[in-house]
Amino acid sequence: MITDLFLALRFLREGRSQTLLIASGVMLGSAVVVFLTGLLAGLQSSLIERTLGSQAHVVIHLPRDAASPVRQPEDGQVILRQAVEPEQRLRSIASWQTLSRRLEVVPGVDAVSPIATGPGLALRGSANRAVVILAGVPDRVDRVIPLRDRVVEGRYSLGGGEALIGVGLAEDLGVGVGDVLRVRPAQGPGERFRVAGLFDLGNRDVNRRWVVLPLRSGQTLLSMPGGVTDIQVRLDDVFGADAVADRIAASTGLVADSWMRTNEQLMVGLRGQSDSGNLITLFVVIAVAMGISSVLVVSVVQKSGEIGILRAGGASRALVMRVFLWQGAALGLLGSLLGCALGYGLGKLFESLGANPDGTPQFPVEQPTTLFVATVVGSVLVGLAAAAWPARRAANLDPVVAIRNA
Amino acid sequence: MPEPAPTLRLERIDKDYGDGPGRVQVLHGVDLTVPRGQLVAVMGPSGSGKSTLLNIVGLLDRPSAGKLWIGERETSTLSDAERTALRGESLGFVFQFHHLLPALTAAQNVAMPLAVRRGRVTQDALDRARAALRRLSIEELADRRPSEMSGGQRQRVAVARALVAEPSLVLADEPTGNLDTETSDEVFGEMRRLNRELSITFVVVTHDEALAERCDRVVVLVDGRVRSDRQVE
Ligand SMILES: Nc1ncnc2c1ncn2[C@@H]1O[C@H](COP(=O)(O)OP(=O)(O)O)[C@@H](O)[C@H]1O
Ligand SMILES: [Mg+2]
Repeated sequence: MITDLFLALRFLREGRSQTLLIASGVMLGSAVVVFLTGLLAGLQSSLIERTLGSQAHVVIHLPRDAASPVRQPEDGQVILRQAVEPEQRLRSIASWQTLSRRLEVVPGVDAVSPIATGPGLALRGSANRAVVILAGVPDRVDRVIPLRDRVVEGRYSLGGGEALIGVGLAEDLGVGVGDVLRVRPAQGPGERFRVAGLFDLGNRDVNRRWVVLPLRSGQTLLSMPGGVTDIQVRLDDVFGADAVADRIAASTGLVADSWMRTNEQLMVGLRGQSDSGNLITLFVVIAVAMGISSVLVVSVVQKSGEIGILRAGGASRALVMRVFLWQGAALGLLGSLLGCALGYGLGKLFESLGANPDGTPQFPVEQPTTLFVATVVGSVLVGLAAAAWPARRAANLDPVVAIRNA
Repeated sequence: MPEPAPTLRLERIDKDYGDGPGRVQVLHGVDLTVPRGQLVAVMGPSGSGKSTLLNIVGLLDRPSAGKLWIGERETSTLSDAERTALRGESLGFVFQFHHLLPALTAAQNVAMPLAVRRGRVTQDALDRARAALRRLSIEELADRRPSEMSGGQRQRVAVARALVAEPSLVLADEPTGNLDTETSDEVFGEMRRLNRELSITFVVVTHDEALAERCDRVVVLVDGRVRSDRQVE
């Protein structure tokens, strides 16, 4: 065995209680990091999942009609009414088919779904509700906003005259699968649709307002035959949305909204969570490093005579240094392996405490293998860094002084 | 036939500590030549510079002036790393306190000088450590730790450690200073025997007149100067 490693392990074994104490410290620290990171990651992904469950990553549309000034005021004039109201009629994105095909091959884009969307009214008997009409091609809609799996009653089907509505709207209007309701735009007559399925997207507002229709019906209702108002885009990397949106906006001259900007509050919240998680990790790292460092410094002082005799026997400074670096690394390794096990156990325990009726965890804890690998590697590095100072002290001991004073 | 180089040669070695008004000179122009195989006792009152001299000879400390040869090598121009390497090759140490590593067995302790030089704890090093223990008739201690040995046994193990790398020169600073008379006699007897059997040169600092008389030569140091230097009859 390598002499310095051999000595390091013997020294650790010799200082049994100190070694155990500091390894438990490292274990607790790593466990906190593993558990907390997993908890935050789980929380974040369920928040993001819930948000993105009913939103496209990027939505492309025409600039919303701005109020346009009628005339500039001249000297001494005051203009009381500066603008005409924007036209209520929706306009279609020009040559959206070509644009959709082009978007599909943009790197990072996973799926594209052109839709016609606008306000409307759903009526059943004397009941009516303001709704959002969302008309698209069934398969494309589902690839951008996974709806098929969220159908809780009936089927995911958008044949001619079929509609999908949320469970909330179904309740409000008192309709079920197979019933007929009437949908009409803000102005103008409506059409009758048979409810093919009810979906639950986990969002009350969406469940009460969305009416999903075949593209052609939506176009007719919104009086834009052959047109679409939006192109929805799903990306491979959800956090790349800002960059992709900017690129699309620049190259098309259209407006491209990224979900990250649309949900700025959420993003601020997530970032705050990440920051506090990182801060806790930082404190853990500092505490662990100080613990390892102080134990090793004490050990250097206690062993100065032995170190002196090793040096007298021909041990180089570098070898003495490595003896202590190994100890730091070994403490980091041992502690973090135990800590990973403990952190994993805590995560599982936490999940089992807050389980949904169907057995799935209410608060999923996300602990991928990379988290454990990173914790162990990080901990070994922290151990090495913490050992650097004691190791230097040991290497720089004057053997004469060390032997005389020991 | 040319004379073989002496094991050790000191030429006008000075050593002072500190600077300015606080400066103290501990060694004054010490000359000493020790031929191969000699067992030299260094005596002198406490504070006369014996340990300082031994540390300089042992390349643990540098002289302020003068020249020092270990075998054929003049050491004043050597780097720290070269001095460390030369120490490992040519020198063995025994101190008043044994400084055995409590975490290691006797055999592992004795093997350390070999292991630190080679960078590995090999079976060969452990075998040679056992052989060194056998030479001191304490092979049965091989697997014991220092805490399980008597003072005399520990010091014997320390002597075995000094010998394991087959040094040409062993430096012993009051090696029996912590032992009772009887044990001290035995440990010194071992060193005397090894000196004769293996022709290893020894420089031994001691306060014990009786032991000094069993050496080949007695050098007396007073206030950092060689006061007397005589062969023992
Ligand atoms: N590092 C040092 N700094 C200052 N003075 C020292 C140092 N080491 C030894 N001395 C002084 O050198 C003198 C000789 O010490 P030492 O060689 O240990 O003597 P001995 O071994 O003969 O008792 C003593 O007066 C001691 O105080
Ligand atoms: Mg002394």
